[in-house]
Amino acid sequence: MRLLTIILMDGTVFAAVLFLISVGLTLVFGVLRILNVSHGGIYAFGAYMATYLAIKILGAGASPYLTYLMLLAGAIIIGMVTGPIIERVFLRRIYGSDQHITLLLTFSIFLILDDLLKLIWGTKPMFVSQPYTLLGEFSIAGIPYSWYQVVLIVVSIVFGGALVWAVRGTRFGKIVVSVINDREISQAIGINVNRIYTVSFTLGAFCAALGGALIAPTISVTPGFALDATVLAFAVIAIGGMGSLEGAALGALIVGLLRALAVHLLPEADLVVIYLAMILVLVVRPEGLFGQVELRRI
Amino acid sequence: MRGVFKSRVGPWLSLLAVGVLVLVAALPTTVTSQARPSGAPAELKIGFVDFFSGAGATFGASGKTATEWLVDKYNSEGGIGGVKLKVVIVDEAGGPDKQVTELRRLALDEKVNAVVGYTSSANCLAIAPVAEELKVLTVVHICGTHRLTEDRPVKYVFRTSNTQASDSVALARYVLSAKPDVKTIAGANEDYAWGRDSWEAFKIAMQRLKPDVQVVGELWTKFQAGEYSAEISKLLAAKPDVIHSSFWGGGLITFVNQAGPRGLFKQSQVLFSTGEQVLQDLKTIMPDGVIVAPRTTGAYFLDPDPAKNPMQKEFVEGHHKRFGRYPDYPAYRTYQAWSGLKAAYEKAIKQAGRWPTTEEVIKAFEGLSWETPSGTITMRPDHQAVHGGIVGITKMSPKHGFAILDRVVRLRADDVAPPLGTKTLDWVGSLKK
Amino acid sequence: MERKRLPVAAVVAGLVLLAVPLVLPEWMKFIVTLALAKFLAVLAVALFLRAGMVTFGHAMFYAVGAYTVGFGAKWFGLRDIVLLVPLGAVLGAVVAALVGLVMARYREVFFAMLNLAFSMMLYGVLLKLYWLLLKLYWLTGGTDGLSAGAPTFLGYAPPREYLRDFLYYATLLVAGLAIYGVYRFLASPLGYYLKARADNEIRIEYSGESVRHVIYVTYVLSGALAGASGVLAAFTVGHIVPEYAFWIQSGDFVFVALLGGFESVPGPLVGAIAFEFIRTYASKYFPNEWQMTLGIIMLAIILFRPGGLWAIYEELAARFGRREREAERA
Repeated sequence: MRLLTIILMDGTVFAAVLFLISVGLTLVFGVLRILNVSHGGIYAFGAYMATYLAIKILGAGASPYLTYLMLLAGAIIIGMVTGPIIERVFLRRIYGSDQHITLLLTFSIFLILDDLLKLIWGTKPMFVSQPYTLLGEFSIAGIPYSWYQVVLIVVSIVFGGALVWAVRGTRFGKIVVSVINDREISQAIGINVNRIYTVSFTLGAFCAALGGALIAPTISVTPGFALDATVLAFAVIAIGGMGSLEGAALGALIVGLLRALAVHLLPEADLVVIYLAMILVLVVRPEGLFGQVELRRI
Repeated sequence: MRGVFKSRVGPWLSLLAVGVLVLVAALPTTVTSQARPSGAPAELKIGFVDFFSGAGATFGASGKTATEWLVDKYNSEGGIGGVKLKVVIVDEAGGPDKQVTELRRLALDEKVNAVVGYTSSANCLAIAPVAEELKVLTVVHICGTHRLTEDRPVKYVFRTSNTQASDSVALARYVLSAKPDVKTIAGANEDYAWGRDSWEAFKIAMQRLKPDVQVVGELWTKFQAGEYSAEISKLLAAKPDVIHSSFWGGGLITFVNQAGPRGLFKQSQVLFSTGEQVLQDLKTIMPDGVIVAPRTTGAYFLDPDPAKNPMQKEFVEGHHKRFGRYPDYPAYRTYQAWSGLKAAYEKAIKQAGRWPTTEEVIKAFEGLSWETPSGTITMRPDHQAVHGGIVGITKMSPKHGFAILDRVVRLRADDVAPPLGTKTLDWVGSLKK
Repeated sequence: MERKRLPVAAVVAGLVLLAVPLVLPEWMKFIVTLALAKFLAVLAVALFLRAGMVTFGHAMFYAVGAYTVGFGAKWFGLRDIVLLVPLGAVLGAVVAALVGLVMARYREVFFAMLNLAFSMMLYGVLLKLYWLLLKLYWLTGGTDGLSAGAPTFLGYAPPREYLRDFLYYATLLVAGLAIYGVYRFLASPLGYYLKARADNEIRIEYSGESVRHVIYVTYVLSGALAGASGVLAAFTVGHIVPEYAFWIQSGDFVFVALLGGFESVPGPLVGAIAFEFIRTYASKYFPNEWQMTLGIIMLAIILFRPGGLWAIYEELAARFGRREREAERA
């Protein structure tokens, strides 16, 4: 029972991290039908920027509580800068192209972003741990956890909820759904489709950067750490169903719990369990748990 | 085709060099203090291969700064036998097939006289046969797998530092003298050869040196994983006396970052085999009382005491002044490689009485002993160097702003490395107190 | 016009490739050998690109081929390239025949992702096997990898200084056979259906052919190609590591196919050679930014010349040809 509690807790913490990593990816896929490989690069940029700002403000002698604000600021800056640039300059030219074109275009952007990080911030690991330690610790089943881990869980739930509300309950969301369903008709009834694309992609980029910024205090940011996040996010949204917000949440929970189970009961399987889950789900339900079957058009 | 790709600076430089030589020769009095041996090239071109991208870049950065500092120092002192050194930098990232290509390019296109480098075990194993095939002198500075010199005999490849089994044995010896009553141990290592080999050697060494020790947990994390929450919970639940970890670089920083606030270091005695490398990055986050080592390197920036050791003083102060960072163990191991190569060349020049061939340098390298800030290094005939190492326990130093090593113990080469001719794994399996 | 020009170009290209070891310095010869070896895997990926499908997992079969060499040398003392290339191709095809049963049902991103998952599973297994059986005997060498050793040719072990030339011509021969085979496949009804799939799948089924069958056959063929590619690459590089199955390797294959242009068979060849040279020169002149250099080149190709290098060549050739015709007329 105690072990089960620990596994649940660890699994949920990891699920929160995974959700933050992957929600932007599924959002962009849902609206633009693009699997954005550069997502991981934006995520890393968010983490670097947030860490950089937090270190700067601590260096200036400000209250450590301000670092939380800096994390958010880092995410907003990176999201607002990278999103529109990537969408307007690059993606806009290739809408309607084959899937492989979009995959490779975003892969190239990923390569460029990865090296840009090094040029800007160097190769030494950077980290800021104050946001992580400031809130203190608590114990579950005799095992201490950091409150920041709970913050991550809460933020994931609230953020995920807000996104679902934005898509289902607002005018903007209804327009987005209309664009997803039929781009040409939407344009015909006066929707500025280009603007919707830019806004959606920027929102996705912001999600990626926010994920990076919030996870940054628990890790050290080093060159190359975006790579891992990219593949993990792929796995999560493939399991949950690409383009589905609920799917990303469920995928994150499944992967998070499976990995916690593996660590505690079968450490040898830690590496393969995620891909095994992905294969199983895709074999049984190719479109993912929450995915929609695409119509084959004649 | 060749001419097109050749750098255009080369001919001008050599022209300049020849011009200077003619001038020097024409002067009636000998101006140069160092007579150049006959047959000496205009410059000694050496490739330096280390990680400049990916997670390993944190090591490569130290290797590069140490190389820059040292090569500038050598060149200002007249180079090797009066010949200046020229360094060609290559990124080690990109996998073994890229490294094999790069080594060929270095040897056949750049025509380097020697190569220094290789941090990754996979890469050093991949390039060793190529170095033999191309007959290019290769000095491996960091790569830790014992297989490099034990799988098959090498002629052109040398390693100027200890293997990773030495790190595990050194930690086992240290923790048993610091905490003789250890009963339970656990390992948290990365799931690839480096992590697996490190833990395996540590586990066997502990069981040999104290047979009643029990293993209560073996954790395998992903390479440089960002999230250790579940692993830390498991270690907290298992409550081992001692936790061994060969995490490094960014992954190690992340682990300390996440484990510290959750009290892991208070509950168990933690050992980090590469811990010294991240102390300057971790600043005040590294708790006191953690056993850390600069792998099995014979020095870190405070030990031997720079005030008493001029070579150490020059390196530490020079490096810190120029790069704002004290040399860490990759920097010391880079120093060992370059100074070993230089010593071998100088010995070969003396023996030959002229500029030596690569084979003569190799002959001079075998059995050579040379001085470095980290002590005397001896190159055995099997091309594996042996040297002692230090281990210590962290203690915050307000003066430096980060933790330094306290209660430093200096282990002798015999205590951390197998004798010549004994395979590393056999040696670890037959350790005695 | 089309029919006339291509054979001439092919003959010229063949002659140039035959002359490579005589003209190029040793290290470039190595690069071209490696490029030719990888070209087979790129060709496999290009087949799917023609059908409008991307795979991020063909490194799986590439690794199967490479480890065929590693295991063969380690356990059975096999190092004859004439034996191992077909063996690697067959094993690649067998694995593809198994995985393909599942894969033929998928399209688009799902196809790409599922391939990725399978290859990452193999990657994990290659990483692990070392340890699960450590007590008995080490198997895959873990991340440190296995050594390939020098190949023999029908039992003949060439002297060291000619080994590289032998390897080059062997690779060239296999590449030539593969080109011929793929041409034949593309000229068959299946090949045409494959191309047609990119435009419209359902119409193919209306015409009585099962798309799943087309994709399955292509998948098995691509497994064989990538398997042979792995064998040749393993001998060329000399060292085999789990990274052979890593998704970045698969990504490189797709990248190269697009760089050269996947609409034609020579495209991937041009791409493979160009890629190895670009990668080598990028790390020579920009040792710290070689990834970015690759990214920028790729970006430029996609945005300005989506047909790849081969399309650029064809454009130039067409322009040149027109000028010639005009000259003749005048």
